[in-house]
Amino acid sequence: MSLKERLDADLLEDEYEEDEDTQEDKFLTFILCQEEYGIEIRHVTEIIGIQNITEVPDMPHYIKGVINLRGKVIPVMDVRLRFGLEEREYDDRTCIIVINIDEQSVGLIVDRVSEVMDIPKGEVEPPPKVKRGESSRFIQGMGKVGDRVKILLNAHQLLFDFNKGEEM
Amino acid sequence: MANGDYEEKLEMVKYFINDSRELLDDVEPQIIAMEEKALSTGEIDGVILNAIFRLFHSLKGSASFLDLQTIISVTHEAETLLDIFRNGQAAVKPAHVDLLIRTTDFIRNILDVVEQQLSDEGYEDSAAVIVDDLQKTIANVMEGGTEEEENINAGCDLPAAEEEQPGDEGEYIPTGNLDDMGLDITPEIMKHFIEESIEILDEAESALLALEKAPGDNEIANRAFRAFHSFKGNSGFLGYADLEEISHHAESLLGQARDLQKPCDPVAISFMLIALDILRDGIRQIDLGVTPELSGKAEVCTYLEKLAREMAPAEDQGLKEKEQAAAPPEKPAQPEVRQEKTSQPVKEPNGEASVKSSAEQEAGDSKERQQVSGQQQAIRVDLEKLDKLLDLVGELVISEAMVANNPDLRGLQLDRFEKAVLQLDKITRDIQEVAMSMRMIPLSGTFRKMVRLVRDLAQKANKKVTLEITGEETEVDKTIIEQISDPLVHLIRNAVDHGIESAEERLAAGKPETGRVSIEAKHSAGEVWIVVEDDGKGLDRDRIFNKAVEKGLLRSEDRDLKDEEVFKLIFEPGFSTAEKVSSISGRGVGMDVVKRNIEKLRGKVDVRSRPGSGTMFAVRIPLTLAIIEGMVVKVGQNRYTIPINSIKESLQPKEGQITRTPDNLELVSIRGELLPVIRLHELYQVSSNFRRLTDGILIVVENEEKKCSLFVDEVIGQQQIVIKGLSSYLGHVKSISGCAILGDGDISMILDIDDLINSVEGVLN
Repeated sequence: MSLKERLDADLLEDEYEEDEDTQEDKFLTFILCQEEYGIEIRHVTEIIGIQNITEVPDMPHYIKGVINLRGKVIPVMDVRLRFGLEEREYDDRTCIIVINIDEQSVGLIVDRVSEVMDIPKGEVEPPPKVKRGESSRFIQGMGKVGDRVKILLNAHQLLFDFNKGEEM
Repeated sequence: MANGDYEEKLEMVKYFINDSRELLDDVEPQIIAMEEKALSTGEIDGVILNAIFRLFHSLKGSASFLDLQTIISVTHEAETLLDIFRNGQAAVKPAHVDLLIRTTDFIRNILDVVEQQLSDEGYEDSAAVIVDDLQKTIANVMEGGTEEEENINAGCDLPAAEEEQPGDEGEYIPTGNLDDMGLDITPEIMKHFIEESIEILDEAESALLALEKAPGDNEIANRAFRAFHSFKGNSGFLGYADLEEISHHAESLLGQARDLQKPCDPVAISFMLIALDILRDGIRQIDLGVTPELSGKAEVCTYLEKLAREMAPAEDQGLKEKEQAAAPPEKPAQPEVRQEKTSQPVKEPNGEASVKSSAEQEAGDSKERQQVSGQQQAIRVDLEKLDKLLDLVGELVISEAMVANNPDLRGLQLDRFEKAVLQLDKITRDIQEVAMSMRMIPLSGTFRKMVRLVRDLAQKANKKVTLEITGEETEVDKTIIEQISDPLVHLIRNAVDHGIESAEERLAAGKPETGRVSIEAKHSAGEVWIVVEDDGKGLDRDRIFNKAVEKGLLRSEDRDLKDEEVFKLIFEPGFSTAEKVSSISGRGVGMDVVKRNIEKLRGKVDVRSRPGSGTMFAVRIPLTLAIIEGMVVKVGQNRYTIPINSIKESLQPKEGQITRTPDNLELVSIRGELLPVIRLHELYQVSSNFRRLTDGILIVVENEEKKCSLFVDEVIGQQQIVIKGLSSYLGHVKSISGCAILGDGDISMILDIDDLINSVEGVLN
């Protein structure tokens, strides 16, 4: 490796580390039933518009099927249905947030995507103690931004936590 | 490789390569002849030595003409070494010969490289390693060191004295650097070492097993000897003293047996096999990146040494004379045989070894074939790259379909376009075929492991069993090789443990004492067939049946099921009829593993058995795993793909053909055959355009002689599809084997016909 190459590699590495650092505390926020949610940006690989979804038989109702993402077949989950919220027709603002956790790529269908924002740890409160319904297990914390609150999701739970009876 | 007209240069390089290969073909047998002479008589044959010297010299000459520094440097050092022997300054030791052979191997590799890229760039490091070894050896020899010669890399601080390399490319690494940090062992060298060691050990094993059957066969003994010898050299070179020591003991035992013209007895072979296992384990550990710890090394070495010693005393009693008398006429013959081998595969002369099994014969043959194909310009390619290529070809097939079936083109009259697409289609298929064939490797490696397995199993069970291997040259995809080994081991274990009876039982039944297990591979209609057969006692239908009833898999009134149906039950999990659990098999795991592994490859396994005369397992696996021909059908908005090889026919039924049972099962009568109808829209709970069977299409599918018909809206057409796994996030989906991306980019589910038919049967029962 020449000196220049080595320097370049070092630089790249620095950049990468910085990248990791800057990902901390960053959330992608999206809207679901007028409520704002956030998901850690480090899980997100891309955001795409709604696509043709192919149904897969025998799936829980919130797994809408699979899409073709540039030659890769990935399953998509309707987050509204996952939370037990009412179903809504997809429109041109409907988005699929593709996340990757434990080598699994899954698309999350949300009403619309808002923005990427910093929510420092100090501004995040634990999830409400009062548990109503099943969806509370998907909440990682409540992020305060100004006078608004974003519901921060635990992406891992969202993908892999199944109740009895809804196992796949 | 700088100036000069390109074409002219190309010609020259070609000429040089062919010429050099011929020279190498000459020099190698000479080197070995020299070694044999040196070992048996302790003398160096001046004539042979001169010949070798000349060959290296001419190689060096032509290489310098083309400015191939790597070859120049190694041949130069080899010359220097040979010069020392020629002047009688030192005696030739096996380690020297080994080194010279390695030098020729290296030159061969460089020739391959030059042929590919017209230069030897990038191989300066490996050349430096060999040059370094040669120089160290030269230094050792000159110092008169006799003991350490085998440890070439023992570290000798002699400065690189007579360097006359015209290193004008500036890439030649001076040996001084290497000395500073010991040997520069790159990960590539390690990788190569490990790969090669595995091959060498396989070769040693097959030779030992063959030797066991024909103990007096010198040619086979030599094969084993050479294998251990090269292994010793390699591991010594990389500083694995333990591996070197073990292989040294095995080598010298074989060498002793050869020199004394004594056959190797089974005990000796068993110990050498144990030694081999230890070596394999060592290599495995090295591969895992740990320093090898070899358990049992000391014992094995002691035993091997003891065996060699026990063999020795006979030496004094006139054997020497006999040896000397026998030696000279043998020597000149040796090189000729070798040359023959390199030019075309020759069967070994069958004269002295009367009891050659077909397996061994074949092992020998294919070894020779390998040697030949080594000259058919093979290169090693990283598997990852191949997989990547295959992925890309998959994408290409999809994109081709996307262009050809593009919805934008619908209804347009495009003659020239269609012609072009046809051409594209043809090329795409050709590329796909070539890419697939690149991953194809012969089953011989897998099959040869079975030789050892059968031997060990038979010994353990105290039975006499021979293994016959046919069609080991059959090529299959690498994935199949990886996955087929376990099922085969299970099948062979079963055959030896359950199938073949004990010698007494066999004799009592009027069969030959020695049982026969055969394993055969062949290609047939886009499938690979692997048939494992034994001539043992066969499956016990009644016992399987009773067991199945006991387990609740069958009811006692199923008594007149076909034999095949009953035999199939042995593939059920936890099903074992063995009365006693032996250490080999009988716990009831195994057969279900066989079935599952084979199904993973989209294959099938069938059993046939006749009481008293044996059992046969036929494994059928589709040749290509990733791309299949499929029929795309439409149900409502959904499109499904049915593998073409399970489709029998499709038809639009007439009202008269349809019968409805009171519990709403629909049957269609086709040429007198009543087939159940599966409505795909009901099965998958999707909407459909038609409710009446007469409006849509019925597709008759078949799996293992069971048929049913699928009701769909319409047939879209037949196309090549690339199978994609359904995301593992979704887990296994009922009756779906995967999915395919269609020409318009949409996804279509591929139906798992086997699963589908079986699930219908469940409903019917």
